[in-house]
Amino acid sequence: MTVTAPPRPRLAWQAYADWFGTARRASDNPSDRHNDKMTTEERVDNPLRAGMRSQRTPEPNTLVIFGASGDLTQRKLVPALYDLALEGLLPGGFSVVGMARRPKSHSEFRSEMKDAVARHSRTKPLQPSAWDAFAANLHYCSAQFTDPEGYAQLASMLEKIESETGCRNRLYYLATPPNYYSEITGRLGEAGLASSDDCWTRIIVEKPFGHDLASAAELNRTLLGVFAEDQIYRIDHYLGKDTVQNILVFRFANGIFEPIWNRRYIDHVQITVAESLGVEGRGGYYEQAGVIRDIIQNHVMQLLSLAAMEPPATFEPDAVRDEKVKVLRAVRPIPPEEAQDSTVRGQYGSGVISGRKVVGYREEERVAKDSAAETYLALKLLIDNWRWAGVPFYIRSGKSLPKRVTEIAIIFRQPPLSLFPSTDGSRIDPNVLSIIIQPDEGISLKFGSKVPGPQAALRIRPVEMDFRYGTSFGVAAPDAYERLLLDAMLGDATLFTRRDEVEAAWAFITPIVEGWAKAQPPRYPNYEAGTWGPDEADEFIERDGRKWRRL
Amino acid sequence: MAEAVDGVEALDEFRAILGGEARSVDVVAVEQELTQLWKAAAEDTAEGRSVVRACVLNLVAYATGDDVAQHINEVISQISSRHPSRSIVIVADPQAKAAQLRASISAHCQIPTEGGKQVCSEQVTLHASGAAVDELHGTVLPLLIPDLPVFLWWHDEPSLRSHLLQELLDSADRLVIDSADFPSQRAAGALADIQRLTRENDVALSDLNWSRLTHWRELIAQFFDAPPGRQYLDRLDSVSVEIASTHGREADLTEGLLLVGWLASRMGWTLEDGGQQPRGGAVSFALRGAVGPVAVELRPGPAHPGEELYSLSFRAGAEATFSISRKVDDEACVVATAEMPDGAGHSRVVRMDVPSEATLLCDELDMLGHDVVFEEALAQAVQFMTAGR
Repeated sequence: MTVTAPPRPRLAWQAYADWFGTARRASDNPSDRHNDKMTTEERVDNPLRAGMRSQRTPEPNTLVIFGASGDLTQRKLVPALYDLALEGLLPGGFSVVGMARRPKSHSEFRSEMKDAVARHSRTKPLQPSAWDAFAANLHYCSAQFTDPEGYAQLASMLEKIESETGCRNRLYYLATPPNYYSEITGRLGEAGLASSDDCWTRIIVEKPFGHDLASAAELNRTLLGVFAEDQIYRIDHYLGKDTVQNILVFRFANGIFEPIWNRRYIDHVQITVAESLGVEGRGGYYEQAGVIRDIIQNHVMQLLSLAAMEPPATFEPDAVRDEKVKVLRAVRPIPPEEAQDSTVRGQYGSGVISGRKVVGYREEERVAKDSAAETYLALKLLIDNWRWAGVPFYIRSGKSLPKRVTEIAIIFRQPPLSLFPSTDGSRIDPNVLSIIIQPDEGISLKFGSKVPGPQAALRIRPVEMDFRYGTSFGVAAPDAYERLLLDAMLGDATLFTRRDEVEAAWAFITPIVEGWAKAQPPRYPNYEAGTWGPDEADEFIERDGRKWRRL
Repeated sequence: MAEAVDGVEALDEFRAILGGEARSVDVVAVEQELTQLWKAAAEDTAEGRSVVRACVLNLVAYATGDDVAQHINEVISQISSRHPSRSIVIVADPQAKAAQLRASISAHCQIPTEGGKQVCSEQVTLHASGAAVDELHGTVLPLLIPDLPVFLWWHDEPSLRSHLLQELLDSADRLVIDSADFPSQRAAGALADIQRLTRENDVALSDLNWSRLTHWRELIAQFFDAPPGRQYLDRLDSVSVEIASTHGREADLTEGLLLVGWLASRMGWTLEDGGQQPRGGAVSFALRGAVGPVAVELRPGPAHPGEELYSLSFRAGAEATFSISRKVDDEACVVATAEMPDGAGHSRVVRMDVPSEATLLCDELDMLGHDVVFEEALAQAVQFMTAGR
């Protein structure tokens, strides 16, 4: 019998928290040591924690949200905080300061947030007494992000709150448009708000982290001019999803998959991030970004690195991120002159999705009539390391595709020889292991089986072995932001993107974008909304003798 | 017998089963009947739905009497989406003279998500009376699905003399009981016996009464996570627990004693003296901690539907107080307050629903290994209870 007790289940996702949290300890790297105080809270040994699901609650702190009038604050951040408070996962002495331009009183801000929580919280209806207790710690600070006066006001507000709660830990959340990031961090530094002697100060930065390698590096330089890397938490909400974290559990908590997870057994890998919606009013942003910046550079590169990384030595934040960044560095670059041939771009025209007529991209709001932004991208990439040499990764992502699905599919090699003569000339399907991230989260394995019948000629048909989250764990998954906000307060950066990860991803993406800029764009629109992208994408993969999975 | 009915009737019959009806079957043919049911279900594409049989564990539930069995059916139906299982419900009437054994099968189906598959799990109900009860294990064991964990949920105070319990424990991974159902004067003895029995059989033990404490324990631990609170943990010298009377019954101390047992086992407090019940039904104990004496008191509090714990408070001298109490005006919530010098205190409202039996059972079914923290807490609690007699 072991000494430690099995965890007491309360929420399924906390199992992951435990699992990721077991090996957290102060970094042994001497260069990190001077910042230990900020990154790793002094671990308090609490004997009552033995055998419990969550290993600790964050220290009391104040969260300052820049861009408190924004959509993100209303739809995600405050509802997530409220849900955490409801679960009792936030510390006593936790406060929020919303900062935005519009003049507003505390009580106006609270009532706005109350409406937002009532609409967007995953626990309904709103619990009045829990809300009142939570709202009492909501504050509002109206200021221009460019105005030093506003930061002085913020500082005095923080001081007042902190004199009541007795703690000076601070977490900033940049939920503003990215063009304010450098302004805000600079002003925070000037106002002396970027660090304190005996408490931690951290900053969460929302994507996009730049729009190419140079701007990402510039943003990182600006942030690092004021904050240390281990104070910076770059959020990619994909990493907060349970199913994304499960990729690691699936790979490294099972003995049977890792031995075949390499070039010897795997023929190729397909990563699909398909959305059935169009740009939904985000036309202005999308014109600048395209699918390559909106999805590929962040979400897909994260999925890729999780699926392809080597096992980390421990589950410490830096050990995990070291391995992830190694994958990104091993991705064979696509130079600008090959960008046109190694990728397939598409843009949707009008069409029908699930019986609903939808307009083409160029008819969307705030989109140019001759827009050259891509809403679909297929590309092939190669990872030049011992594990993956010669195994192509086919990536596709697009808007207005027939359905919303995100999956990673591992397509295995065929058996060395075909023992069973085929009767109808068809090949036996390869084994496929697919990890479905959304919407119907699960894992399934396809293999061949004999069709029942007395005929001498064997007929073999693919069958599927299915695991669905929904049928194995009936609990509603918490929102990704709940997990990530809690992690940032706890100082666990495992699920946040490190500087070198961001830059490595941009280093791969930027030459492709540059190559496109030099070449003639394809004739858009080149696929109908509600279809699986342009025909060229099919030809693209068929050139290699392979096919996109039908999803 | 199934061959006797023609195709259409068979189809209607299995649809009725998937709709929640039970169907009597021959005891020896249970497995075949289930196979036929799922085969027919898989072939029924008439309504464009497809049915998936899901099973992640074996759940053997023991009930005495039809009322309890009915209640168990409801609980299993609620947990079937999270823990689809082969459930075997034993409805026993050991006092009856005639030895009888009847079997029926039924299914629990979730409402399918749009375009998704309907996930169903199966239930076998065994009605046994008289001498047939003691021989039931011979019927139950072959019905267990191999290679899946076996949970034995004994919805009654387990009798150590029960031959059936002994036999089923041999094949079980976990025994689930609820000590809230035990008469309080016998609770100590019964819990001690069960703990010994499960140790002998190397079966993990769960007490739903302990699970009710999960949220309370979490909130207590939170007080001592951060440095300002942590320094007082070793200096606690007084613990006071208020027990509500539920359903008009007299306050039952078992849950409170489990909580105190947990604190004592985690903190290394040892029992010095106590257990006498002075006025008003309060019980007090003198414990010894690493630093000094700890006074523990359990006393009856206001009535609260559904839950026994009403409030807790911990004191470290005159310096710090930590308390958790049901909110008077909103019983779904509790107020957790820490009072510490130098403004380090705080107070907040946290939702704490009284967990349903299905929720509690769900949590226990998540667990496969021994719950060492519980077993240590139980050992302490049994000591307190024994001292109290």
